[in-house]
Amino acid sequence: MAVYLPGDVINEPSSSDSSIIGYGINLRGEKKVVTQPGAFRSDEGKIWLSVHSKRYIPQEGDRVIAIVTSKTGDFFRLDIGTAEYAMISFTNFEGATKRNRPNLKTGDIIYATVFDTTPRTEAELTCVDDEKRARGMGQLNGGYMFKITVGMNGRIWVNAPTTEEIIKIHDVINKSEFIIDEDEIISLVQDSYTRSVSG
Amino acid sequence: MRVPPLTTCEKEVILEALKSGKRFDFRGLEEFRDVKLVVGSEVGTAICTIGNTKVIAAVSAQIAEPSSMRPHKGVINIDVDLSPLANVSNEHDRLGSKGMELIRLLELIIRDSRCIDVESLCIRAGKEIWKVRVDVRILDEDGSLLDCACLAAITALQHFKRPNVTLEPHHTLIYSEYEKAPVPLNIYHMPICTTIGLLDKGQMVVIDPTEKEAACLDGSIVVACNKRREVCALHQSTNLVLSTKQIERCVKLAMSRAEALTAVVSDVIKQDQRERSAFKRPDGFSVTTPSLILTSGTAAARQINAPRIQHGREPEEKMLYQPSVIVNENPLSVGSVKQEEVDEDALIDEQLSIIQNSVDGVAVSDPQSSGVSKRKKEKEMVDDLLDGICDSEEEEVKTEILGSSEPMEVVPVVEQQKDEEDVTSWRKKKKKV
Repeated sequence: MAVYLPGDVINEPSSSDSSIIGYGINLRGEKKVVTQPGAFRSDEGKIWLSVHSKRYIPQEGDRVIAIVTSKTGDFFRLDIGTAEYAMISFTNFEGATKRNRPNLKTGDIIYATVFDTTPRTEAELTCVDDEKRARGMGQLNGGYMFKITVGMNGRIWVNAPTTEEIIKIHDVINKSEFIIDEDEIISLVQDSYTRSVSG
Repeated sequence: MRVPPLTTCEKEVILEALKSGKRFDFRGLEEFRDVKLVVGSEVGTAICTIGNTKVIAAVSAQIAEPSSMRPHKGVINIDVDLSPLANVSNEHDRLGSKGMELIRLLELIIRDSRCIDVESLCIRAGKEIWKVRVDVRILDEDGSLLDCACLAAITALQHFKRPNVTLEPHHTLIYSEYEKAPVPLNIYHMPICTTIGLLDKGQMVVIDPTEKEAACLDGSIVVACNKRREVCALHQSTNLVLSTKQIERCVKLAMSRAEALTAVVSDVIKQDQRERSAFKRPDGFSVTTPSLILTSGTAAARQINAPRIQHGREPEEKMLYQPSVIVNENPLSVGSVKQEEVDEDALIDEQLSIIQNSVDGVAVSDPQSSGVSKRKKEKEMVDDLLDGICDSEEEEVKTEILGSSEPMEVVPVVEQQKDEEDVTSWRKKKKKV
């Protein structure tokens, strides 16, 4: 396992034939330059860095969970865990027109794709693909959202029929951050399932 | 920087859980988090953790000139810093409203409750006094910040020892710890803080709320008291109108907590003193290093097939004819068979046994021979009857009736025989299969 720091150039043999470049790596000409400190990973033509960070750096094409913080003109201002707020236009929702606007309030959460990360501007998100279809994106109703330091913008949204189940799933995911062994996770799930939530 | 805002869904779920007596850390509503208390290798230092909240406190002393108002009293200063390390919304060297509230309450609890004997800190009245400084640094924030800060400060004060001094006519001698044993502070009592969250306009209490829970609650009340059951401070964060009964209940909870924590603090201090007097090198804060550090050893994508989970809820129709099944069994027990399958199997078994029994019953006697013999017997009986009945016409009529009825009787027998043949042939076929 190789650990890279920002500014390093990746010279791994497995990275030469990889066509998909993932999180923490930027392409400058022919060079693959590291932008985040982390451990190098590769899998079937994909390379990325495993980064332990609480701050998200947006990349085009990432699916993220965003929190609505305010409404300004034709845009919603969103928190996706970046240094600056992100924006989403009213029209970037499925079936939305100038008259038929999505009804989002402060504190609601949406599932969206990052599609514009021009430097020195706010990242822009969208809830529709090229064919103006939602494909699972849009507002997330009910459930529970929490943060954990993994992948993309490090947010997970969970929904289950009862609160007790949500609490249990939340607990298992939180604990699994520090578990590598597969059997340990299964026993963790079993323990959690039989455990009573109320004290 | 800012913290991500609390989302509507989080708030709804947390409140719903709290109202049904559940919490995200598997605690009860009136249950505290575990407290971890560690004293450092340097005197007058302590780290306190309550859940994820972590505070370090350090006590130091220096000689200073007293104010003219209190010429023979020592001074205790409290300094709090909320660093961005604890919470990204904190700014360095700027307290904000939260920090101001914290520092004011700590001053109220530690200085104004007069738990430390300030008169013994005077060296020369009007000239020299000890100025004790308590530095409180918040390392991590997750609710009950005041409880943690107060506990850390009190432990550090208990642990602290000032250098010994002697007075000479024109000067003061300060001894190092190798020349004369340092002197601990005179502490009368230990005020312990307890944060109690309020829900439903104070109808429900949520003890020791985490940061997220606190954000969803209606407010909180902080009670500081000591083990002698004296209330040292009472602070309410929002303007919620509470009845005397509700406050009394909170105070009662805080008292039991204070007793337990006072015992913990004195245990930690005594343990440390024992180790020091045995010339054992104190562990200090090295024991607080977290065991859970980044574990991205071989964290590649992997699919995990979790054991199948059977839900307790089933449609009502099934419940009607199968009321008692797997209710108390562990739903994760491996190898459990589906209930529907069991039902089907049982039904088929029952039908089979019925069919077999009936088939066996018929098969005891040879069907064809019995049929023939039965017919013979019947013919004989009829013949006998006919023989016995002789002349009279009336009786002839009867015989005619009987005669006519005879074929009627024979027909069902034949049919029966056919049935029996069918059954046996079916059975033979089945045996072949």
